[in-house]
Amino acid sequence: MRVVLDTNVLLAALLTRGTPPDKLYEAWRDGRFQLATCERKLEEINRVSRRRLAPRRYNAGMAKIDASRISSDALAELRAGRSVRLVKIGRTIATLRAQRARPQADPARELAVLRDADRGDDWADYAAWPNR
Amino acid sequence: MKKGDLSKFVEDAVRRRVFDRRVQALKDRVSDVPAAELQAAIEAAVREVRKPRKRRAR
Repeated sequence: MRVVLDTNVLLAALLTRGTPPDKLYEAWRDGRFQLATCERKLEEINRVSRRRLAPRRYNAGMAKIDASRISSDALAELRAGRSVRLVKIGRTIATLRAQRARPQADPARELAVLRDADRGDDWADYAAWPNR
Repeated sequence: MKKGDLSKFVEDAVRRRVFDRRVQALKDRVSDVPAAELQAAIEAAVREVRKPRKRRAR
């Protein structure tokens, strides 16, 4: 059997677990059907996959963040050398999406040292939470 | 079995295994992002890519 999957199903199959697209990936891996595609679809997949689909991650390291904005749990994680996730201030913790970094106005404030894993050089204005 | 069939079989098995490992690594990297959020981001990106491009006004 040959199956054509839409781009969003195909990408979800490659990124998610326990979802219907993931079940399709497993079925394809087990040889239960063949995938069919065309140049146009491959081009679309290429263009979609170049976009940022997951929030940017931050690890303990280089960019700086105001320590007053870091929860005590997250500080403990940092001091233990573990990574934390950065959350846009005022946004629901469950969403855990980072916003673009912007320069801090007052460098004299206490700063915790973090690193932008993707770019490594930004000052961030985020609240930080344990990466669990 | 013809000559070369075995090497093709092994090559195919290795390619599939390598691909699956890369997919699993990718899934691990985004495992902390809820599946619904990823799905929504993918759908938004697909919509954006499919949007007809406007010609620049001269």
